[in-house]
Amino acid sequence: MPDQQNKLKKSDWIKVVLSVLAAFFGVQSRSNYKRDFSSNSYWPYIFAGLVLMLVFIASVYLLVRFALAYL
Amino acid sequence: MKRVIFGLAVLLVTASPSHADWTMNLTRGVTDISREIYDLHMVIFWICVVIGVLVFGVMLWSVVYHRKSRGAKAKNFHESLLVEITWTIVPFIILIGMAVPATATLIKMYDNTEADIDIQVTGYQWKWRYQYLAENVDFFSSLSTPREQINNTQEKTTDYLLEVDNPLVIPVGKKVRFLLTANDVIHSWWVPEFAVKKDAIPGFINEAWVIVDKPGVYRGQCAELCGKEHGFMPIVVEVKTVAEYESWLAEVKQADAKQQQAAMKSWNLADLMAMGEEVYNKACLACHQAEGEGIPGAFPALKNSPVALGEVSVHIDVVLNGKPGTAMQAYKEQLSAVELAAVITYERNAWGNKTGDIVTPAQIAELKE
Repeated sequence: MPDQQNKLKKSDWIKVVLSVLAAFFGVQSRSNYKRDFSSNSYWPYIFAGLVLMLVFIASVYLLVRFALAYL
Repeated sequence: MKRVIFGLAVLLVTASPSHADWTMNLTRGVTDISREIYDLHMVIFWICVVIGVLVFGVMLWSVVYHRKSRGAKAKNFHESLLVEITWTIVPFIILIGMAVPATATLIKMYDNTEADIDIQVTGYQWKWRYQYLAENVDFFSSLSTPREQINNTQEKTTDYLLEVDNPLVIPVGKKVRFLLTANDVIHSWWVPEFAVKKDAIPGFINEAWVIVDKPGVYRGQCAELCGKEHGFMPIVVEVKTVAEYESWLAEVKQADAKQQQAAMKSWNLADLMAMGEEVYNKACLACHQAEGEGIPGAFPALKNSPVALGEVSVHIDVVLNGKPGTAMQAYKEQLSAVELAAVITYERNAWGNKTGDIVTPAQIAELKE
C-alpha cells in the first residue's frame, strides 16, 4: 500500500478515476497512458477499478429494475 | 448504371406491402406480440439499411473521388482519440436505441401470468400430444398426409405435410398458455403466425402464450431436428370462437366416453384387421414399413418376426411399453385400447403372419388401467 510520503492528492485521484473509466470504455490517449505508467504504485488503479466495477454492477442492476418497472 | 437503378426501383415496387404474395419477409402474424415483433424487425431492418447506405456510400465516394490517379495523398496519422471515441459511442447509441423497444416486447412475451387456458404440449417422435390441463382432454396429433403423396405415387395437395388428424383447437381472444416439453428427444413447437418457436425438451417445461385475434387455421412445423420423421410432424392450430370452442370440447369428451365403451363391446377379426391396418399406417409404418418388412439394420421386420408370431403377451408388452434402448416407443398412452388391440391383431395376421390370434380391446383396457 502507498505510504504517507506518496499519498495521492485529490486531483490525482480524479486522474486515476478518469483513467480507469477510459479503460472501461476501451480508449485512452497516449499521453495519459504514459503518465499513468510512470506512477509509483498500481494500487490506486486496482482500488479504483474494483470500486467502479461495483458501481457498474449496481447501475446495471438498477437499469434492469427500471426496465422491468417502466417498459 | 441507369439500368441498375431501374432494376432496384422495380425491386422496391414489387416488394411493397400491396403485393400480398411476397413471402420473403417475416410473417406478420395474428397476435399483438407477433405484430410487435414484425414492427421491431422492420425498424431494425431499416436501421441496417441506413447504416449500410451511409457506410458504403462514404466508402465508394472516397474510392472514386480520392483515388490515386487523381493525385490523392494518404494521410498517415496514427491514433486519433476523436475517431476512436466516435466509433465506440455511435454503435453504443444505436444498440441501446434498438434494445429499448426490443426489451419492452421481450418483457411482454415472457409474461406468462393470468392465462385462461393451460395446454401441455409434448413432443414425441414424431407427433405432438396436447393435454388441456383443466379439461381432462388429451390427444395426439399426427400427420394425416397419405403415404402415397409422400412416395410420389399420388398428386400432392396444398396442405402437403402440413395437415394432421387431430388439430389443436383454441378459442379466439383468450390467453392460452402452452407448457412445452418432450418425451424422447428435443423438439421445437413453431407456429410462425403466433410468433412462437419454443424448444420442447425432455425433463424441462418451457412456457409460451398467445392471444389470437382472428379465427382460422394456422400451421407450423417442428423446428428442431428430431430424427427420421422430423419433417413429418406438423402443427395445425384451429382458432375458433368461444362458443364453437366449447362445443368442440363437449364433442371430444363425448367421443372419449364412446371410445371407452367401444373397448367393452366384442370385436371380430375382420373389424380389428380393418382398423388395425389404419392404425398401423398411421403409427407404425414409418419404421416397420408397408409390408412389415422393416429396414434391415435399423428397424426390425414384423413379417415372420419372433415377436409377432410368438407369445401374445410379449407382443402386447413391446407395443404398450416400448423397448428401452431402441427407437420402439411405448404406445400405451398414444393409442386407445381399441386401436392397440386392433394394431396388435393386425400385426399378428397380416403379410402372411397367420397366427389367427385376436387381441381384444377389453384385454388391453385392463392393462392400461
